[in-house]
Amino acid sequence: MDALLEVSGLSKHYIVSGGLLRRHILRAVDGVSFTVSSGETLGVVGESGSGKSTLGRCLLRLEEPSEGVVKYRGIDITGLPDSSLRPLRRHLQMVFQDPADSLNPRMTVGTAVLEPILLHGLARGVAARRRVIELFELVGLSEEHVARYPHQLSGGQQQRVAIARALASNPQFVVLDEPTSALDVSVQAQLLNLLRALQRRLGLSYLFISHDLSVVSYMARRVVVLYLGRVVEEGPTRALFDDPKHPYTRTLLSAVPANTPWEQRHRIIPRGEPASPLARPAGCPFSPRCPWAVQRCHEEPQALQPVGPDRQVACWRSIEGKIVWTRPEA
Amino acid sequence: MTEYLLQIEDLHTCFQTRNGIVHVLRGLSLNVPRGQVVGIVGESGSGKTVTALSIMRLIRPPGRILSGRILFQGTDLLRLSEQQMERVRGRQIAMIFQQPRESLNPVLTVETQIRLVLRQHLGLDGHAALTRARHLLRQVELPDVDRLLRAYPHELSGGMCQRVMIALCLACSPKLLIADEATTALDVTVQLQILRLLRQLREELGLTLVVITHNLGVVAELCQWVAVMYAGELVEFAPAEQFFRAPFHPYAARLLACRPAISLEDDLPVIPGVVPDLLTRPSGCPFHPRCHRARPRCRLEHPSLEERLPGHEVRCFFPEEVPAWTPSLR
Amino acid sequence: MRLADLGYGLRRNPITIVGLVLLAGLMLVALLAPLLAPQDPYATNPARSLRPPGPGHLFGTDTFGHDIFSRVLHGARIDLMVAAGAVGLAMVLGGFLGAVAGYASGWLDDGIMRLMDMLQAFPNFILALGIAAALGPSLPNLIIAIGLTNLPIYARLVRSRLLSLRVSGFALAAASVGNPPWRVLFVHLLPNCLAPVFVQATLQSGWAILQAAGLSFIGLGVRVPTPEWGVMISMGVPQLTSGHWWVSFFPGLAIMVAVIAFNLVGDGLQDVLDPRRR
Repeated sequence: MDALLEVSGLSKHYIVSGGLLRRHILRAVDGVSFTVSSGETLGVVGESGSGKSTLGRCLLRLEEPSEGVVKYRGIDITGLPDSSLRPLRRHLQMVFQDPADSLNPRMTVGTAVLEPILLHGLARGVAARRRVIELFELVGLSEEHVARYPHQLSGGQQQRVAIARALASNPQFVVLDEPTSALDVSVQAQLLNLLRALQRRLGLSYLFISHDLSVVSYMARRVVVLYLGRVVEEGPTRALFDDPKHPYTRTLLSAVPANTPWEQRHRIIPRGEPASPLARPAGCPFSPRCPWAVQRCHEEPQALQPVGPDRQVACWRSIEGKIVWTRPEA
Repeated sequence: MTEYLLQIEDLHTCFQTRNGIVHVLRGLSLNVPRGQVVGIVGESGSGKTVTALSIMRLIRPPGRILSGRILFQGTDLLRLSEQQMERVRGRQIAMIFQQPRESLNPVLTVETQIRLVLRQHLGLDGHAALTRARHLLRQVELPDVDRLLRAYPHELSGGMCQRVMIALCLACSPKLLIADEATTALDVTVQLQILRLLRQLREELGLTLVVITHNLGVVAELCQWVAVMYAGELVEFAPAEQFFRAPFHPYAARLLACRPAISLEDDLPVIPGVVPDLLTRPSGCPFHPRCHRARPRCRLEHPSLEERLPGHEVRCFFPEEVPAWTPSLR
Repeated sequence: MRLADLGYGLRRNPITIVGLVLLAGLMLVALLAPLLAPQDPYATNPARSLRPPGPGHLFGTDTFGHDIFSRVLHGARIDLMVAAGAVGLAMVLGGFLGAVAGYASGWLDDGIMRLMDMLQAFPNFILALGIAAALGPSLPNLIIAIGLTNLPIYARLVRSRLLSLRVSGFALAAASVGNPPWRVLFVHLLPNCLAPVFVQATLQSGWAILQAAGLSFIGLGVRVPTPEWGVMISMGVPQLTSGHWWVSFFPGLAIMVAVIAFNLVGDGLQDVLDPRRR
């Protein structure tokens, strides 16, 4: 499998003024690296403040990365000027979290899907309109929806339009930023099935960003776990969820609500309050809340180290086998 | 004989829209046993939030409660004057909303907001109020109480705001707490903490909880009874364990089954179609157009709520006979 | 979709219908003035000067014998033209500047906004006065003067709306789909900023008429004998003490009707376009 997208050392920081003369650096994304192969779905998991949405936007250069390199099919798109970047945009598309917000309320949904086709010169006139109808049918809508306005459609239908729009330029890589978080469970199921079917049919690669572990585990073959802008663990979905190697991953998994009332789940309670990206600790970003943290964790930043053939973890205690998962240290 | 704290009888609530009158709730009946947790589950358009607002009599024009009774400790809330209702709201029945930061007054400190509630309902002021405020914040497990009292909502995280909200609700020791999607906007680790807090408070204070959510995991964690709403009606009501083992209503069964989990091959079971527009409800059983068990009778007659097992009621002519989903797969 | 909104808005605010009727009436009068006016508004007739309202002269005559009724009707043309022109200018130019400022940010934003600050630093009327005096009294100059003084409002309105829309999902989506920045601004963002602009424009039209009248009243706008309502009032002022009230009264009434009409329509429009009702 060849690498479609290669990300190395991607960082995005903002300078935030904290009152008179005080400036903080907010590291939303900090040194993130991963690869997405052709036809694969990579899941990105994190809670708020993890930087996952910023990451998605930086990949498409909707926000400018502060550091790092993003390569699409070997081409470095990080430094490209606008004029060279725009033609490449047809290959890299995005579906956003809030479907109502991502559609122009004054444009019919048909026009919204038509636009990329015209912008990239893929078709004109009647042929373009026919393509729009094709796309609508591809995502489970029909010709009668083409002339509607976003507010006349349900959330699920709006998101289908957003998917059609993303597919209009025949992309190879689609970033899905929490595409079903704003939708009901039954609609979510329909849309997840649709996304998988589209992937099989069109050979798409996905970056699936979500805070919902069950959704990510269903969609992605490999997962990257983010905490405060850093990758803390990476690996195949099944292995990662069956046997998480990072304390944060464990904590996250244990926090997922039970499936049934009689299910007994061992809960790991992190200490303190969720950290803010503004006040990142010196060493491991999770150390202030980690039940297994020791002095070294607070002082020494952790880099990703391999553990097993295709897994990585940023936790020295875990790698050295020094953690007893059932016994958090006091 | 179970003692019911809240009894909703044949509630009819409607809204005037530009397209006509929408009957959101048509004859809703629900009983909440004292000291227990009832979960109201539904997707968008099910009428669950309108139910909560009706209980609190917070339905304002263009909405109206047409008929029915809401018995709280034997008194019909719908017969009370607005003045009398104001003494119930916040004092006897309290409500937590979805967006914690938006529920708090952004220009007042936490202390001021608690004091306002204490003064209005309990006539508490000065030092007595401060002591109670401190006690409340400690009760919801907020750290650094004195600093928190001086904080403004925007300085607090989502989870902390929600806990302040819960503290405000508990200020007057209400008997009933309604939580409307109280954890939906929170991260999963924070959600866990809030759910545990609610469970604890229920045990310590003997609170009765009505938890409104679309998240079945929250129901599994917290609730002893499950009420499923669809298109403004109660379609199933059962003890939680029984519900998760063997739901009767096809909608409920599908809802349980369509939640994603690690399963890399099969498509998720779906409920085809979308939730009906309450203005143009389907004839007969509102779920029949989407139901995999529907037969001609379902289109012609409207089923009524029937008790199939002790404590387990369902509104369906052809309920599921065997468990339609197996918990063991998850 | 839009028509249905309109219908609903009118049902909720029946008084808007009054405004619409008045406005329609005014526009009709302005359009058909030459046909409706019994006499040439410029025709003087010293023999019939200062006749009170009566047969032949519905609103009476002024010192020069002009038929006030005909002049009021023709005045509708002039004042509505001024309102439309001035507000139109303010809207288009102000809106454009506000859009550029809001989207570009940085020094361009600062520059444009400081320019707007300068315009707003002067009391509105004094500024119009200054511009009109500098340009010289004439109808086009009147339009320019009033238009320029009202520019900053639209610039700010559009800019603030744009600032919030710039980070919305569909702006980001428009960029990700391949739109160059100028298309994102003009095709996607700007059309969504227009609703408050139109409401403001309607409300301001009444004000524009008052400004025009005021400037003409002091001689900096349109000149005698042009039948503009403000000029007509000023012409009638010396007659008030001698009991010839009708010379100033009827043009004044006309201004009042026009301003009320615009305000009612503007208020109604605000309700119709209120996004919260969606």
